[in-house]
Amino acid sequence: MKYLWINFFSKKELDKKFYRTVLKNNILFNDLNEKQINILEKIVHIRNYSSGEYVFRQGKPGAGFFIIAHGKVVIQKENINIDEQSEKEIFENTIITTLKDSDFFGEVSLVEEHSTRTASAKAIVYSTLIGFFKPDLLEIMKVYPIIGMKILYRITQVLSKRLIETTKELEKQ
Amino acid sequence: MKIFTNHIERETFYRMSFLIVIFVFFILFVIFLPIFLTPILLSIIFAYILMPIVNFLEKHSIPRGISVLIIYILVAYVLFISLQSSYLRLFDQFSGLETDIPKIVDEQLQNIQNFENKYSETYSIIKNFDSVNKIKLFFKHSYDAVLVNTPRWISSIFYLFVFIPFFTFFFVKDARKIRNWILGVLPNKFFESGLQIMYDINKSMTHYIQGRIWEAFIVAIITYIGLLILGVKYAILLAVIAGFLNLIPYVGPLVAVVPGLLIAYYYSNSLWYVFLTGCVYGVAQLLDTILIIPVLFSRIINIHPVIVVMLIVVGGYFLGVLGMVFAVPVYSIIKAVTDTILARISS
Repeated sequence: MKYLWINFFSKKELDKKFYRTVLKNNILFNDLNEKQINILEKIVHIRNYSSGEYVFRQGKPGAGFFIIAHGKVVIQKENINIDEQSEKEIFENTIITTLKDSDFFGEVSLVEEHSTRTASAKAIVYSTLIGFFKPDLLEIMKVYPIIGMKILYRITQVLSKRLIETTKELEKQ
Repeated sequence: MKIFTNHIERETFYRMSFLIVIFVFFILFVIFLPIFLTPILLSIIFAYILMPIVNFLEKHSIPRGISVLIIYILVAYVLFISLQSSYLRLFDQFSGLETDIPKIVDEQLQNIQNFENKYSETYSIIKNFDSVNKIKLFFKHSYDAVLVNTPRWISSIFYLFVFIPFFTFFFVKDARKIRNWILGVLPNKFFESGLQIMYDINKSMTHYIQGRIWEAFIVAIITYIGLLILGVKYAILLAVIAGFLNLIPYVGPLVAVVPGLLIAYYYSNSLWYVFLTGCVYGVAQLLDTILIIPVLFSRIINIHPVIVVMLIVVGGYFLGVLGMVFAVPVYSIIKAVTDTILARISS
């Protein structure tokens, strides 16, 4: 009931203009003009998460990425270790990064087939996220191929940049 | 005067009011569901049929609402021209058949009676069989089982020309809004899975409905060409019936062939002509099975024929002819949702 309330009938604190600004400023949608942003606005999903609520869990199937319109989200790796003496499971969470307003995460699952989340994302304060998912991207590619092409181009740029950064990190080690 | 002393009281009041409103709507929904269910289902089917055209027009910057209106105007124009046209004469054929069918049936029953009378003295089993009354009883029971259960509203002008087009218009125009509204109700925990399931269902339904419509249309065309070549009377109407009944798996094509054979025999009195007419229907079904279905349905819904027939019987029991058409797609949706949920639980 709480979650039904929080998304279906919650007080609208952030207006549409704000969401448009967040979308326009996101690197994946930088190349879109006003008309194309209008179209995108009708397709994305606005979701509200209370403090401590998971956006997604590690190992679960992923369908898309989220932009933080307002709030803070922590990305953490969950490890399960077995204590040798007591043989009990010990859950260890390693925080990878803390994301704030306008940051985005989960974009790999936009293009990966049968993707599973490699880490968990948890809201640490009341957060409003804008979700853009694979089915939405496929629909855009079918109905608005130019918009789809622009978004895909930016996705490849972001993923390439991440790959280069990861390679450099590994080389340092 | 302050009604609420603090924001928690106000919030609680709003939440309780919301619950009460939802409960009232639920009760009203359950009461009025039988009236609205089938017309809404039909509207959804029509929405799926119109969706690719509307998406195409939207791609060319025509707003969705305007696109649907354009399609309605075009359909109304084509219907108007068809009624005026001297080539189609569908309604003339329907009126003619409505007059001829009782005569054809009576004549055939009389032939069966004459056959019984001729051989009843020689073969005692025929004497007591009373096949004419048994046949009449069989058709009466079939009519009662299928057509009586078909909602009466289907012949209502209000439903056909106002209610269904009205709902179809909004289902097409606001498809994304409706989808987002439904997803907005889902808890965050089930949101991504729900989105994926909805997308999978939408894709399967679109594929299935559009494929079935094209399949019915192509079967109707093939049947019409064959009957036209043979010179069978009421060829257009028989082709339309064959196409429509093709929507009902297995049973439909078998039923569709009966009026064709009756008419062929009545107007020719030749068993060879009846055989050729049967061949036309057979060729249409053969082409349907080996060419049309593999091409249109790249991933054929994998349901055993026994289950398909059972679904048709159950669908026919609840909603007559409409139930027989809807039974398989509704089952496919339930199966797709269940399979996806189970797959996600096990992952």
